Amino acid sequence: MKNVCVVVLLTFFSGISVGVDAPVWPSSAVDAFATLPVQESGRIKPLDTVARFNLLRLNGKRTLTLETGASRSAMEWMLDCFFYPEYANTCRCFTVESHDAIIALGLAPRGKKRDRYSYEELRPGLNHLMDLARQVSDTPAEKRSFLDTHLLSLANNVLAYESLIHFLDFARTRFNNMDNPLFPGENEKKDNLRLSELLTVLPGRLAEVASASGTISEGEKAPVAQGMRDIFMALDEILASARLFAMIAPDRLESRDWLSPADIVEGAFDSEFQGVLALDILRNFEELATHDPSTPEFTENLSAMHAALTNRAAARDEYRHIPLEVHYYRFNYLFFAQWMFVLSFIFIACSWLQQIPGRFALLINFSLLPPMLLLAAGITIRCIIRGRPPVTTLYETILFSVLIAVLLGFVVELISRNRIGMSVAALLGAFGMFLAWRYEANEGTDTMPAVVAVLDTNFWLATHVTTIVVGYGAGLFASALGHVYIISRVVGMKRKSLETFTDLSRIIYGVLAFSLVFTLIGTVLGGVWAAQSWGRFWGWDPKENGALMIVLWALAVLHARRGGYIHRDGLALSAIMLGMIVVFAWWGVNALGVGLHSYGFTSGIWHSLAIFWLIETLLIAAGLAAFKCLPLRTVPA
Amino acid sequence: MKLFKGIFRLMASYGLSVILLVTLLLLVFMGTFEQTRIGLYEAQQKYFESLVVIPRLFGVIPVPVPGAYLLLSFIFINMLCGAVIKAPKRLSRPGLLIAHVGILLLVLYGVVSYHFSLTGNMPLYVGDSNNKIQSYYDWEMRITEVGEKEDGRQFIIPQKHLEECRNGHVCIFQNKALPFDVSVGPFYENSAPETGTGPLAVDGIKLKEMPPAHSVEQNIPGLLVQLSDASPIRGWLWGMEQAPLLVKYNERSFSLTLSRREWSIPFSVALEAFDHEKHPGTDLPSMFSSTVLIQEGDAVRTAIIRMNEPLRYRGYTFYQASWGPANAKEGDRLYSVLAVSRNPAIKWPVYASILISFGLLFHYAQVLLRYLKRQSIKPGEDQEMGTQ
Repeated sequence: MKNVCVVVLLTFFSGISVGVDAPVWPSSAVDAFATLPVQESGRIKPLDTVARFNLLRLNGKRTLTLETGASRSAMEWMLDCFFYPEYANTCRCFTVESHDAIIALGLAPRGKKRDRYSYEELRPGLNHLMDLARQVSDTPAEKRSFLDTHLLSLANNVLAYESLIHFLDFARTRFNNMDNPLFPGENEKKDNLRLSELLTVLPGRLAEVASASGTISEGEKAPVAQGMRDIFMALDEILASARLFAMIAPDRLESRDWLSPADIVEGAFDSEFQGVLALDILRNFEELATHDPSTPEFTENLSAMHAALTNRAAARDEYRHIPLEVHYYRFNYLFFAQWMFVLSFIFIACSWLQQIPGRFALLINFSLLPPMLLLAAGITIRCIIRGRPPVTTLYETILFSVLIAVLLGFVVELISRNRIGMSVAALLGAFGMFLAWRYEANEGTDTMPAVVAVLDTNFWLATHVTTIVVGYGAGLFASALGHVYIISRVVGMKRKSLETFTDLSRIIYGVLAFSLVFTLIGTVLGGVWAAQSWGRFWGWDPKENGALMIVLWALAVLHARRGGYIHRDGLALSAIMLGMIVVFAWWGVNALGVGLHSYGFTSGIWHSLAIFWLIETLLIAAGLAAFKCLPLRTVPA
Repeated sequence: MKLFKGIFRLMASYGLSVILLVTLLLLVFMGTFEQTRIGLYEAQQKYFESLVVIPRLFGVIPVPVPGAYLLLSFIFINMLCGAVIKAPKRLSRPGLLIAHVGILLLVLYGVVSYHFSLTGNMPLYVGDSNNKIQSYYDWEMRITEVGEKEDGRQFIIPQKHLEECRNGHVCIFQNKALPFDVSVGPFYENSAPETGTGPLAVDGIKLKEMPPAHSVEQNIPGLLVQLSDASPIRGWLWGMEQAPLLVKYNERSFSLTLSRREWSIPFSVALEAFDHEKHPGTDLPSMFSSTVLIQEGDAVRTAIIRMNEPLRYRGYTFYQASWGPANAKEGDRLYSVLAVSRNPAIKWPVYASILISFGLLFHYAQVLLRYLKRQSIKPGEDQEMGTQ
């Protein structure tokens, strides 16, 4: 009879009426949880970052919009999942890209093709979803349809969500040992024993049983053994979910692995366990799971737990950058930079249409500066947090190359003062930041991950990687200038004179040469790094070849110009082609999935790349037609 | 003389530069894409180490195009003529001259490396020692005379000769020092053992020819060997077979193996310890390192080889490449694979990168200053771009 130990999972917190109002989280509580350090994916990060990327992965956005229209931050949503799972289950946090997925689950879709659903709404179809996901995962990746991929991703998201809502089960669970023969003493018997209480008595009790095992009869042993089995089965059940977050820094400095609540529980049975403080943390969690966030008990326990966890991390010097990272995401440097680039572009576009006098003109001239500084500040903060140069991931190549392009635009503007550099910089800035945002949302994973062993060298990251990304940024800027040139020629701007196009062409030449210098030096430095790490300077790896293609094209263009084979128009077309090659070197080779640069592999982007190259090819064709039909004339003064 | 001048003018021309650069660009593009189909090694040989490539247009029409080896040779000549020999006339642009010299040095490095460098690897279990480097790609059949009186003299048949023994062709290899002829055939580039019967089966075992692996280094070749005499001895040699085929011949003993090509080095390397770490909570390697003992005569020195921190010794460089077994559990004996190379021109890329960087930065700084100067003196009067 399995009645010796009954696990009671308390009905999720009793302080609210479930499904009606969103729990109210005091800002101090949100701040305290946000700044808790967690070890995840090989690095120490704030819980706030974990919450943001979890919500981004499920929801496609870092904030949750409730049915009432109110917005909920990622941290508040995660706290709902921890402390009010029944409420969280009613929040529509799962983005379903196509209602075909909902139909496949046997559910009724709502009106829109792409919509958000709650866990509660998906629940009737979850068993079927898991079956379908199993089938899809057995299918080779290249044979999966869009729906297959989406069902698999939805299943993974549901599992990730379930692990969030069950994380605090260990703090909510109450043990009933009234009938458990493992605990014979009347004062040990309770029907609502907390985990921390159980852990203070269980290890000692097990030691007593072990030492007395030689003196008790077989008949007495059996119920005790059953009692042990039951209690450990119950522990196993709650410990599976308690492994989710490693939040407790280890005491020993040489240990790199942080501890999760489950590790604390397991450590309690270790004779060398020194985790009195860690047991206090478990008690804090239990108190937090029992009290309303507005109560003094909640606040008291939260601040005690926060102090304990942060002090342990600080003792290892692993807390230093946590507040800075929380600030980085809260301040939304990149979001503001993106929209200020857009705003800047609108201002500049207005100035094309009409001559704007005085102070407004000055405002327009400097409108590019704030987003550029915001982007630079964002990149700098990321460098400080990671202790690395600006570029170590594909995501960071976007940020840095955009910054380089914008900086170039600024410099070009200072030299030429015709607002072309500024316009292109603002447009590229807005587009680049949009691309970064989309990439981050698609990946849905931390953009500051731990680096693979071969990249663990700040010298080469700072020299080769940074230099080559400067080359990419400049190549894209040259390409954007080429677009301006060709589009101006195609639309046959009558006000534009031969001199204007000559000036523009000179700028393209300068930027293209700048791109060549950095790509060439970066490529050679990459070869020197490869010779250091792998024993060969050049291996014809796709990533190396991509960079070489940029260099070869830029060299061919500059030689053709020097030899008089191309002039203004040809240079502009060549710049557009340079952009196409840069995109191939930057993204295309990653999608090939071969070579040594496997840490940068990307999938599912061929379609977007093909559209880009098609548009560029059409633009080149249009440019050629315009050159033929619309010869340039000098406009008389 | 006129003809010579004409050829020189052509060789030094910008037009030729453009054609060569664009052709090389297209070749690199094709070779990169081809890697997804035939793997890096094959693509490298086909496109980048060849004089001529014959890709098929639409998969049907053969179109011969120059290979990267030929193109780079012409680019070298073009640069030498155009940027260096003609350079005295253009000393107003010294940066360009320096940069071109750097690129020439880089191309020369490629040639020297291709013809004179040695690359291979040395897998070592912890506690083991070795003084041989093995090839990634090349195999060889080795016949070693064994026995107390023998000095382990070896007879080697390289893979390029074994490759001729395919498609029903049986090759016969002879050496006066060997008391028998060696017949080889069939030779399979990639193979796997299977049980079977028929004329090719030996003791119920034969090798099955497998399609070439995507990466050439994963191919495991095999061959059927027969030592001809009055009583012929037959057997299969397979690349993964640990034990050699032992034969006795008129009181003389021989061992036959098919293994990766090996080179001896003048010292031995022993793996004393191998350490590896992962980022906490992930399978992502954060560090791996091999502690090795280098022994040469009585001299012994200890060194640690890490990712990005190779060991250089007596012209050889040892790099931390990989380790295994992949599914090793706690306490299992691990092995470390050290990539080894010997390249007489190993430092040249560093010198080249310094020359190129300095040359280009100097040149474009000069160009920018000239441009700014013109802007400030005569804005809008520059005619450098010409008219169309």
